[in-house]
Amino acid sequence: MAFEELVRLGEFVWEVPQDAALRMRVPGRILLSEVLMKYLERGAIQQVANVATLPGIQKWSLAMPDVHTGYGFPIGGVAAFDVSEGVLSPGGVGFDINCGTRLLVTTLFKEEIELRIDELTTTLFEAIPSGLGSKGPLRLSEKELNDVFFGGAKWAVNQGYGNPADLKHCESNGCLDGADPAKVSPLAKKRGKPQLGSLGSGNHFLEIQCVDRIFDKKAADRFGLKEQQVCIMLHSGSRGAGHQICTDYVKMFQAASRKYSIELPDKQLACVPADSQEARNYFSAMAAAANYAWTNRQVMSFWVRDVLEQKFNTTATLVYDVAHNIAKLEKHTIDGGRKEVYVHRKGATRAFDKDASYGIEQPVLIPGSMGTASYVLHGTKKAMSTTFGSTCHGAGRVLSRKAARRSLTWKGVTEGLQRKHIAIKTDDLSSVPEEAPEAYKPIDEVISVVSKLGISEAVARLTPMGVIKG
Amino acid sequence: MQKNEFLEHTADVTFKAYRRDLNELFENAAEALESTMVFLCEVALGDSCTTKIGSDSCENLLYDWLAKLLITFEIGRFAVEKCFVRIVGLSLTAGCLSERLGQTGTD
Repeated sequence: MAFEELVRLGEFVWEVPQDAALRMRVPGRILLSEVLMKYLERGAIQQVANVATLPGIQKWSLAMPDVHTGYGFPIGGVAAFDVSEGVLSPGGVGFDINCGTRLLVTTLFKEEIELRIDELTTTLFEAIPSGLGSKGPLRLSEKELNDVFFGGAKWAVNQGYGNPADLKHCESNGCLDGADPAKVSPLAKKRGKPQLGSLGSGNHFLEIQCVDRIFDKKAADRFGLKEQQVCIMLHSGSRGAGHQICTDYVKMFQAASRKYSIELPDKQLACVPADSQEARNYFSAMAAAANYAWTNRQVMSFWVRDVLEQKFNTTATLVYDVAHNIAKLEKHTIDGGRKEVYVHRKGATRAFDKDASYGIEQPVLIPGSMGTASYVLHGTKKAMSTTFGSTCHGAGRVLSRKAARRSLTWKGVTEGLQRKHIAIKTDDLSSVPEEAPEAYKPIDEVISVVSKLGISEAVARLTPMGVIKG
Repeated sequence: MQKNEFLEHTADVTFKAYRRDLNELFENAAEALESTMVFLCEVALGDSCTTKIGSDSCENLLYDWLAKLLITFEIGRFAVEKCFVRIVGLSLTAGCLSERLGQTGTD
């Protein structure tokens, strides 16, 4: 699809008209600045248009400012489907179900750990397994794994990995209702069983960060953030379990789409009616994977706290934990009426205007690329009315991994981090170029767009001090 | 003839595999996948295994073959350096030369 077909509706809103492609049921809306427009791929525009053809889609097929081409749905895509007339699609969630971000805040300040940042980074690297195919130290029985799928972070807290207060500061309290381990294949369980409590690889990371700037003091105070305070950010998901669940159901749904006579412009959009048994099975399995991911981040948080206790005789409080690859059953106001919809957020974060745990808008965590800033924001009423309560999830890739490896070296990237006094630890130096800032859009611009659009508001900026790359 | 060509994709690993025949296609696709997970030149061949898969279409057979290699890597902790594929109808038999990898993380 050509850039020329986009119609500008506002400073940051570009429409893919409903007649731009065959069978589009709604227009597409791509949220971008002119600066970010140069990174927009034709393939991503086409995917926004393709999603708009799916049955029961509400209002718009959306793309956040960090949009780039994905599997079927674009990454940075948001689409809501009517529960009776719409569909559920694993491609609209992603392979890493409940890939998400968690932020812990410590009682330490930058000057207390600056001289020991290498030591802290190394100790955390040794405490938390990371890398391709990494395994966690937990040895779960089949029953315990099923309990993880069913109970999520609550299971972890009950086992002693954290405290009940953590659950209040998790999206969905760290556990999505409706999970059913019986809908998870034996192979997904086999893959997930040894991996609980591990970071994974690729763009998964643990970062030691410092609150560099506060934009909204009232919200920062409520979230417990002060300038120069040391935080720990975790980015990880459901590991092999989630990947296999998505794989299983994509394969199943490719056949089922034909059974239900759903015409697909791209088979990667395989989907089934939301009120079908297949959809219910997928949702139950997806919820199980989501719960695994929350458990994973909860267990890793326990080890982070353990290290902080050992090294600095202190602990860390959970600020929040958000998912950015998930489908949720939510009620939204659409055309003046309240409607129940399945909101698919793939590389997009929930940004609600209310959060029970803080009594104000929901915290939103947006990690930047390696070596750049990350942001804490909060949700808004505007997000509720324009993006189904959603915002971006990160910086968004602009270079393929292949292109990044071709144009950058691990030595160059790590030297760049060292010049900024950022410690780095990883098992795989060869993959470091893939996560370099040059491989991503400028995070400050992405945040600027979502703030100016009013779909999330900046609370604080965090800058990295130490990076553990998975 | 070129074996594989990796394509640009900002989210996923994408490649084209070339072949003189179907068996070679599956062998080249396997090599492409394995090369994304390990440095193949560093795999010291010491183990071997045989894999048998059946499927309902050629496309699904390729998918299932690559999925099998992924599981072998992740769960079995084997890196396959070379394989010899024989396809008859929609059934595949492959002899694979591999190395057992060290565990990542604790064991």
